[in-house]
Amino acid sequence: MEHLNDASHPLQHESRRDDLVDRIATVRDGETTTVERLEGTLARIEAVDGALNAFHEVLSDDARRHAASIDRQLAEGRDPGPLAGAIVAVKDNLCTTEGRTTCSSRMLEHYRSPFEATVVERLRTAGATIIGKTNLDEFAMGSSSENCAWGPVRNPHGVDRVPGGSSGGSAAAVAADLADVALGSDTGGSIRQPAAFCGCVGFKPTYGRISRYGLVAFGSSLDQIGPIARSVRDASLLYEVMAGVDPNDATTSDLPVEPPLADGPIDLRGLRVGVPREHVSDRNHPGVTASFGATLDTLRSAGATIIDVDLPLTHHGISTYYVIAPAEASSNLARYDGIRYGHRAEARPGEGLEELYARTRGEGFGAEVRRRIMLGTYVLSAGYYDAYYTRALKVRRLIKQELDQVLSQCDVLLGPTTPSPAFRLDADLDPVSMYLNDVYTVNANIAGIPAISIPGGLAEDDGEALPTGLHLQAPAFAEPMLLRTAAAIEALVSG
Amino acid sequence: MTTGLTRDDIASARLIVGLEIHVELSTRSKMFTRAANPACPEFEDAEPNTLVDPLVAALPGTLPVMNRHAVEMSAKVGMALGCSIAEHAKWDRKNYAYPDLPKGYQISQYDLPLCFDGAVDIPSASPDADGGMRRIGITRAHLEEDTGKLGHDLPGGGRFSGSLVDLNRAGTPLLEIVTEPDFDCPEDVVTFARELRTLCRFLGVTEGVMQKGHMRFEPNINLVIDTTDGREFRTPVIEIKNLNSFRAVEGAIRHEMERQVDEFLETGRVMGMGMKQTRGWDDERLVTVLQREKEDAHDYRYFPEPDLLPVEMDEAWKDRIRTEIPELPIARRARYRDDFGLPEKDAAALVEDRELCLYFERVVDAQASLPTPPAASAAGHEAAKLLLNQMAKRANEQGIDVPELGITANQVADLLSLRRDGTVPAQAIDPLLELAAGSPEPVASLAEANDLVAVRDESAIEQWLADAVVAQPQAAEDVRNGKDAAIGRLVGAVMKASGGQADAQDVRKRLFDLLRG
Amino acid sequence: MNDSDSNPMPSIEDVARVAMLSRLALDAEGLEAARGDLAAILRHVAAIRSLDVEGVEPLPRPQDTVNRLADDEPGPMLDRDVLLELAPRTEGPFIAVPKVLGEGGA
Repeated sequence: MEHLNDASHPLQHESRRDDLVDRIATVRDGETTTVERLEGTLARIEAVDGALNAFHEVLSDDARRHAASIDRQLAEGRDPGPLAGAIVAVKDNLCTTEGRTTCSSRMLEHYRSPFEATVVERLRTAGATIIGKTNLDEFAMGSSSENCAWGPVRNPHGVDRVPGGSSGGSAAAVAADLADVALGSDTGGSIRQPAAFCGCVGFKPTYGRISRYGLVAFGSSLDQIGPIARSVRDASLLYEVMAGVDPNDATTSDLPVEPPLADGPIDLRGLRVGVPREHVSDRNHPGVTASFGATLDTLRSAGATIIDVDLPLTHHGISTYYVIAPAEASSNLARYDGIRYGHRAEARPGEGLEELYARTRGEGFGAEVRRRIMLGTYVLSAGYYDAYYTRALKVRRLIKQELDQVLSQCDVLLGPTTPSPAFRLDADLDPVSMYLNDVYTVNANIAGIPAISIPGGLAEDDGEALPTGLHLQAPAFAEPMLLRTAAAIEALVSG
Repeated sequence: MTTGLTRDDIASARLIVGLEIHVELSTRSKMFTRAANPACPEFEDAEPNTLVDPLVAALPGTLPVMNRHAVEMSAKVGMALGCSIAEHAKWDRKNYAYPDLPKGYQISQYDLPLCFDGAVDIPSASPDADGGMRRIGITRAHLEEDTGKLGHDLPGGGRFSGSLVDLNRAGTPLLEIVTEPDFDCPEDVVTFARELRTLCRFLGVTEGVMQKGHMRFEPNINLVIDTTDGREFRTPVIEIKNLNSFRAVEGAIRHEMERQVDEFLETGRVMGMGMKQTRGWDDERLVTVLQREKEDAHDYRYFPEPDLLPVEMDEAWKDRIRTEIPELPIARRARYRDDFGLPEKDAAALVEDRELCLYFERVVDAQASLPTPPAASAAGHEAAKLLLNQMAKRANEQGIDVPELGITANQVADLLSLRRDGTVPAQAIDPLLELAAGSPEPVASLAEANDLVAVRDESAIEQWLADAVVAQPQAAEDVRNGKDAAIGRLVGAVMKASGGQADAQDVRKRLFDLLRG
Repeated sequence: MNDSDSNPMPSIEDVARVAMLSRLALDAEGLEAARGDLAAILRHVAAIRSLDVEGVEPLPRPQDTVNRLADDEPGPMLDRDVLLELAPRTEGPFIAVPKVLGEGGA
């Protein structure tokens, strides 16, 4: 990561924009200190998080200790790592030895992990200061951060709006400047959709790029950890720190991790940008359609080649996802039985273990989690297995083939991240409508390819101007192509 | 319902048994994590709940990583059982709830096991056996994880009303071997079970201590009943769980042979979906007892384990494993019988214990490199006798195994050689073993230094013999008259005269020659 | 379960069985609500049943890498006190649970 300290590095040539990269530079340059930055952040949390509910737990004492240690190392001329000075928030489904790891579930209300997630360990080793654990939909199941054991998260761009989910706390924290950057997890869009709703950058790398060790599993073959950030280069920096093989996660790739932005933003001239027709349908919110159309015009003027492509299986993604993810979740969540840790229902006289199990889980899990466990058990059970589970795995292959094929015709895919901007907390969507929030994001998880959401301009809804997201997808392990393109579009759209 | 049939209506009841065997592999760490494995002798005495790490306790966020050694041990057993090794093996989750199963699912192999389609030939007691042998098909051998243990006994006495969970065993690698239903008598099942145990010990994949649960047997048993009026009925398959002694295996099968006939006569129940029962073995009452019905109606919701990658063994990898497979017990026993003229019992005793067997082989090899090597048959025969008698007795007294006596194979070879050419007398063997234990000295030097070399002075021996006959006329007369027992007194007299340095066996022979000429 | 059945409505027995397998305590009302939820989701999910998947291999995970194996070396373990501290109920060195009444493990 040394290149970031190098004045000749392309990232250093851009004008100041108060993102993480700029902020840690001010710490390195001695303009400020980590402790000073931390205190400012803690004060903002104190002031606004009562309204937002982005954090489950603010680890003030631990963070102060870490920050002081970073400053001491800098003062002594030692290098605490590329994230020295960074204030990072962590989604509360990532295991930390400091504080609790609750997954926003009563089941784990008091749970303290005796070990740390690989990503958290890597952040700490790189000098990051962890400020706290962010709110989420219970066990990362949701698209609005309303399925929370201790109250919903609210969107800093309008507190009657949802921040998206399931990494809503992380997105809200970054948007409200309650952290420089935050970690999320993305199973069907849980990083990118809240990033879009909150006007942040949200990046889900290729499946297997970042260790899942210490991420509380939801859909194991879909889950991937990633950053929610203020800029593409921030996301890229976090990715570099976290990515790479981990002996504790057999599904991590041993392909070397290239610094994605080493060659700077890509030249948009001649870049082949594929836009799936299915992603620009008239089912999208008019504000989304308008801002996305404006982006395409800007890209064309910048010399990019816009190619219309077809992804006819797009709408089968949600169906496929709602078989595979609940199936895996039903098994992953079987361990929460109140025996070895977590919530256990009060025993009743004469009651056997089976009843206690069922009451423990009935009490400990919220409605959406129970719904998905039931659905997953159903699609895996005898008589329905082939019709749902096996079939979904076959469709999964078709979706992957379709994406691979389309991505061989262009450099990246571009579309809106979500069909609409953030909806209201009281929208009271039925489960299926809620699930359709992920319609454009979910296939990246199904196929395991990297995808990123960057701010895509504002959309007007009900008289309010709300952020929208631009969604970019690239072939597996093509993170450099994806992030370089995202950086170029980011500069174009914001500038 | 009843069948209206009685025992008299039954023409025959043929037994059909297939066997499932669980072998706990003695890797040092567990199947999917680095917690120590209680099936490894290093860790077998661990206190409850001390061989546990976050993965074993199924803490949130943990992920399994496959132990290479467990995979290789399994392939090795599979190869020794004549199985094919899968080009592509994968792991699946078997979902069920039980407090000894921390994750709520067991990682096992459902449709693509590591080993499949093997066969083993065993000596058979079945009247239908071909040439006294029978081929037992091996359906598959797959690798999964063991569960924890549930108990009720509190430390320091007392009994807990619920269950007490000890997770030490959770995640121990477990190789499940499944045979075809090729057995038709209990004896063959036991022969196979013993053979498999010896094989696994030989391959070094388990200590094979039955009392410790290193191997657990689960026979699937049913009967084909022919009635006198020409009808055929198949009784429902009964699975007997967790038998951990050969006696229990045999007892359970014999009991089922009777019980299933009775049950059939009483209920008329025959094989079919939802009929499979699980029973256990009551070691005191010597009966099987019902554990649960409708075993086949369970819904385990198997699906591919997303956290583990499949294993694909290429030929080079397989070859590497194959080279680690030693000559197998059945072949070894046959060789000992044929080449060394060992009785079956001695051959079996040597092969039963891998370390003893390898030690024996070293002694045989050491004899071959002597300046005047004995014939191979003598080398094997004499070594076996010494190891299984005097050395085994000595080891037994010390509560250790023969190879642990501290006597090198070369020392044993030397001793056998010195004995063979009469350099040392028979009665010197025990003291020489005693001296050799832990000593780097050659046995010849030890014999020399300790006056254990036989007297070879012919004239002196002749004189002692003559003196003894004169001193014990009655004994001499008795021997002449065919009373062999009387020789003892004469031998004793010669040995006394020689100061114990004559070779007693040699003296005995000479006395017989002298008196019976 | 034929393809003309495009509106899969699980029976209440199905839902009860799924709740049992899921180890979730649901009363009659809860079962009925779950049945409605499942039906709505399955109705949406049923779309994939119209696709032609003849000859397509299932794809259980995105990448087709194989053979990630670890060395057989014991590593750090949990201090037993830490383990027992996490458990809702313990007896001596054990984790304690109520009696298992029904049928059990595999």
